[in-house]
Amino acid sequence: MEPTTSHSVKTKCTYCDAECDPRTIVHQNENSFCCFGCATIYDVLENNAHFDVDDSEISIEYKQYDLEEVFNRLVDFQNDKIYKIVLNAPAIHCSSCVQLLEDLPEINSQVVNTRVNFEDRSITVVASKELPLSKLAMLLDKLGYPPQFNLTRKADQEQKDKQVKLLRKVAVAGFCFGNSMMFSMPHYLGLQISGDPFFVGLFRYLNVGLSALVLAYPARDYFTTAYQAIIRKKSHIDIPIVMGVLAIWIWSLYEIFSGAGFGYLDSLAGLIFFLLIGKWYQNKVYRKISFERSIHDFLPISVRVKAGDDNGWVKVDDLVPGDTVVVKQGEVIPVNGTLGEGDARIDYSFVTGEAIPERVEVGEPVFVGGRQTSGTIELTITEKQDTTRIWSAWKTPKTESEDKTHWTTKVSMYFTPAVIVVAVASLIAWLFIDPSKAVFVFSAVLIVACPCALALSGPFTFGSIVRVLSKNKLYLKSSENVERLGNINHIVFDKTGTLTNSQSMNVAASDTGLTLAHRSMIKSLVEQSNHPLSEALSVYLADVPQTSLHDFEAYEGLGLKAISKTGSSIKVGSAEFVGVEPTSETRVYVEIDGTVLGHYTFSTAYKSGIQQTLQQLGKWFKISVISGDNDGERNTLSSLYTNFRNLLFGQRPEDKKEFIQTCHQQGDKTLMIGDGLNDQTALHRSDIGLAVADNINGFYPSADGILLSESFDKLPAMLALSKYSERVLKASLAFSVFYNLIGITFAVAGSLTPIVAAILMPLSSITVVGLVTALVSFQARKLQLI
Amino acid sequence: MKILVILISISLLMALLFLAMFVKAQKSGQFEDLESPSFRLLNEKNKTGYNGKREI
Repeated sequence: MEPTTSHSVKTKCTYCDAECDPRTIVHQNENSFCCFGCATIYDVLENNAHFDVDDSEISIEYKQYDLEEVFNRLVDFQNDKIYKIVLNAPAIHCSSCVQLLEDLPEINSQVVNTRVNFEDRSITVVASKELPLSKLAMLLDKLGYPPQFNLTRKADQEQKDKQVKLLRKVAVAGFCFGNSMMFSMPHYLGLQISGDPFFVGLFRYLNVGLSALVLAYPARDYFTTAYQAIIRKKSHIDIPIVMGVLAIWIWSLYEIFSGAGFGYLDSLAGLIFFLLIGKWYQNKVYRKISFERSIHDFLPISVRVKAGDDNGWVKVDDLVPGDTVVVKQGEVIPVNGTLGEGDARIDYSFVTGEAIPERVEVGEPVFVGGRQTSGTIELTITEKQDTTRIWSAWKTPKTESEDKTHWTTKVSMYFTPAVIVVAVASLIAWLFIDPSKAVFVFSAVLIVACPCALALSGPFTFGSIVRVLSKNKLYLKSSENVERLGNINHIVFDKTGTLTNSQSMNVAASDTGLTLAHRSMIKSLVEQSNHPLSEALSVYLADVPQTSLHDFEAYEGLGLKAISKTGSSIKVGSAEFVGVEPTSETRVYVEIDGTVLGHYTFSTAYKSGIQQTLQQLGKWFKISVISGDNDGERNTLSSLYTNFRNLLFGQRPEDKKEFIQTCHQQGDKTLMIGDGLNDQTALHRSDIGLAVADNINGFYPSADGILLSESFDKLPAMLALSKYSERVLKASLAFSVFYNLIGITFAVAGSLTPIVAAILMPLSSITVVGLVTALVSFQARKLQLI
Repeated sequence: MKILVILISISLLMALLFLAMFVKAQKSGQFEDLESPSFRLLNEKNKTGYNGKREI
């Protein structure tokens, strides 16, 4: 294969020619690839590159999956020789990925078979037991597809199976509906055949058979739900549905077997068919995101323990005081302990939101949840690890299921008695007018007054809104959240990471004393370091040319020092490093030949367009910011938006929780926007909590949804669309009532013929579904969401 | 007119057949992943059947 170079602005993948996404682009020599899969295949084809994983390379994250109890929960199937497992690999994104992963048995002979499911971004692997799961995971990781293990995957699978079964029911109901309609046609159209007693009988009995099939299989769930609701004395929309269905069926059977008429069995099949479609649409997941990630995906459950010269693997629970735990660069601290050895720079951003790694001296404590960023360290265990206690702070308490009755359920609560009242009233009335028709009118009212349109409007409204939101990168856990999102009136931000841009920092220069030559020295110096402040400064000085320096020295946690080619010495670092009075701001000072010539002040960068977004939100909602940081940002925030309801700093998680509770006492409906973990109690307390994140595969245990930060500016429009859901529901309710009034008029008048029912009932369902979908997409277009 | 009996039974049987075919296709997992089979198509090494099972 010839490597091709592209001169267009967008880089094209050398291997598959797809446009490269800057987030996943891989540069290798002069070639660019859209993903690691392409790069690897290209490498294998061109250079016969070989891939293998050494045991020592296996990361701690994966090692725990070899533990028997974990392994047994993860695998789908195992015997003495092989095991089968399904792994999620979100990095899969093109045909080369599929090709590479399915050729895995050629890369490693211990892998028996692999199969990619592109839609789910998952891989099914059958591998020999000689290949430990951790090694398989590491192999995939090395290939560029870090796998995600999901201990709740089996529960997800159940949900998926349910949907498959539901679709099968839709198919069966559709089959019955279509055929039943066909057998009813001659009767409706008054064809000659409808006078033939043989055919009339045949069609009727075929319809009876089909309807029995509908009730026995596709409609079964409605009966079970209604039955359970009645036992628990609760109102449920399935009760009036079942009532209507039974009325249709019994009356139709009576008509058919008494020879009095044709029955409404085609309408019955149609009804079930449309109801099931609604149910299926509601459960359809547009993009599968696993929200229920286990704590173990983030915190290792087995650790590398130093025993003599050897490192063994021990379960966290089995650690005893005095054990030494080894943590390598990039790994998460699995236990609380004190630093025994090594250069510890712990990134606690996941716990505290603080982006700059914290330097820990030997003998100082290190806490679980931080990520070691430079080299290998050793931790000494000082106390027995009580993992349950440590993790309890991270775990989500189960949602207290407030018995929130949806207003459509409330409507159905009144619906049933109302229908019975009308039916009985018309029964009594007809006993006086024409007793022979009284029972017919009674059942006709029950038949036609079905909350079918009402039952469909919810699923289709929320379903289509969820679809629009997912397109705009707001992923909600369930469609009920749309309504909760539409009801809020108070937005609470957790400043850290939600209003700020995690990818960059603002740099304010106070460097008038610095010449260009000085700046190029600074630039060359900071290029040598990967400290976040050095990197930020390097980005800030992007246009400055570099120069050559020598005698480079780095002082941990203080700064950098070097000698230029002209012989002047340069020091870049903290106030302490250059010997000036420290300030509360984050500053980097520049000292050249013993004189401090200037400094750079670093501050948090806010998301672009934040001011506009806040102002848009402010039109409809109260906005508060409760932040765990010091109030250094107060002035900046106040200048961005003047109408903050509350602007609180230095808030502990409990304070945040209390704040949310106070809001609720004042009758506010809150939307908490956090970054996932450190504010999880508040996120959980609020009516709805969203996590703002850079990728959807993180660990956000309490969030009801994930908003990708790139879509933050669309939040006002998305909230407006969710708010609109209520109006859509009301409009469809009005339609449903309107159709029911027409139907009941027919029924009460004693003229609900099967053909009227056959037209009216599907028509009401179809118009309601059409209306709802059209309204949502019209509004979404108006809000520029599609 | 009695010929209709045959026609009706044929039409009903055909509809049943289609239903059965749908259920079979669904059970074999054909609808689970609609995208990857298109990627597999041109991979010569990878001889997979329509339902993704390797023909070993």
